[in-house]
Amino acid sequence: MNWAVLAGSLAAVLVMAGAAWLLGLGGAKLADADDARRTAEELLPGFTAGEARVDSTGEAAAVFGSAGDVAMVRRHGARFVARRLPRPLSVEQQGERLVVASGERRFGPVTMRLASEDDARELTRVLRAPVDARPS
Amino acid sequence: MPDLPDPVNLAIPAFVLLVLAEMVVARLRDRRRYCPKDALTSLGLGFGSTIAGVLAGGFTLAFAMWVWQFRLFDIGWQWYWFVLAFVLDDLRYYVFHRLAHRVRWFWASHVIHHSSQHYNLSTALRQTWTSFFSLGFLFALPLFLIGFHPLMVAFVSGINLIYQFWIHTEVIHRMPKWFEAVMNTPSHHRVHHATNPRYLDKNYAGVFIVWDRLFGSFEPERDDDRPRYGIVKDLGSFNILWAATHEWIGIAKDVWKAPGLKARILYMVAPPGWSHDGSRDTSEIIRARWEARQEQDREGAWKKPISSSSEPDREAAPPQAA
Repeated sequence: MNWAVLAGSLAAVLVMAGAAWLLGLGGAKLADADDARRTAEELLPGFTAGEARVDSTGEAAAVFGSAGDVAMVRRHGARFVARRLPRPLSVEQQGERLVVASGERRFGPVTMRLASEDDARELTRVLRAPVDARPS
Repeated sequence: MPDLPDPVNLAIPAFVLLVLAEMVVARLRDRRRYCPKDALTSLGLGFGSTIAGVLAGGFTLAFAMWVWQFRLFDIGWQWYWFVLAFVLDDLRYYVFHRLAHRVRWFWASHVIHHSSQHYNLSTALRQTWTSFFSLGFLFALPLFLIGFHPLMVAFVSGINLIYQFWIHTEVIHRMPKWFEAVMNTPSHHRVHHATNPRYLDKNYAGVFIVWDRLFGSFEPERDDDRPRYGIVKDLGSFNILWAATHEWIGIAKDVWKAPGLKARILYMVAPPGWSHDGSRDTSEIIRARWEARQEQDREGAWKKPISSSSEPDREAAPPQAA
């Protein structure tokens, strides 16, 4: 390994990453509640999904588990990531938007945008409520 | 002693061209096979890995040469010794790789390669920065003690690494049967990168899949259980430093908080996912839970009342899983 190889490698890294961007690669969206449930079960071993709420852009979802917990799912590049969180959850609501804290600095919060402020308020209420509450 | 080139350096242009070609295929078939941020993270980790390799290379070679002086045999530079070194080095890779998934200390270094949720040629370049720190080079010592020159071992290891590049793709479905039987292939290695419970901790081979078949760690890819890639607890971050160090930080935190010396040691050497209070899942636990659920589903389907007289014989044994 010499400086020329090192500089060439760095240039190649930038060319390849730039090509991925120029070709418009990536993109991911949750199609519906079934898709959100399936995604949560695939990402979280042992998680049994129940009802799900998908945000209006398809970029995030809250999936209620059979054990009373919630899987918060969010888009990560062209894939989805999830965290299984015990209720009650820490949720901030502002208009149609709600932000759920994951408790992990690197993972960050999960932001959802719902169809209406009422929907956002209702989901916030359920996520903040003890285990036996379900979305209406 | 011949003047051996670094085969990986020579292969870099081919790596770049093949990644670009695979991106074009992704553009035509499925854009989600690549994510620009994920690719940049993988390639950045690969670049960092070459720098880490250069920094540690001098010490590693000096140590290898020191060990080599205690060799059992004087092995020459004829071509057949290269062939034997290649095969034995691939066995060395299998052993190291298996332990890299079963011992958290080695996993902390190797996890970097698995931390992408994508499976494409850029994932092949997502390599560790902390290989030297994890002491993975110790696995090559038996080869030096047999008598293989460290530069010969470095050369065949480079060839091994180049071989493993092309198998990181979803573009190739299956190779011819005879090839799949002997060699590691995209299909076999997709299984290795998958987090599906069926596939966890399988197919450790580098070049020859026969090691997995011999030592009981082989699992074929199934079309009805498509691999999902990443790690059991995906990072959810494209931060390159976090990707390179997160498991080491996890070990440090666990060791700091562990109750007693035994737990401290086990947090370093037990399989990934082990915890002193059983609050986390190892791959065995995940697979056992999945198998129990599969069994439950089968029993449920078997017990489910059916009204049609044209249904299969109810007294017959339930169908076995393939």
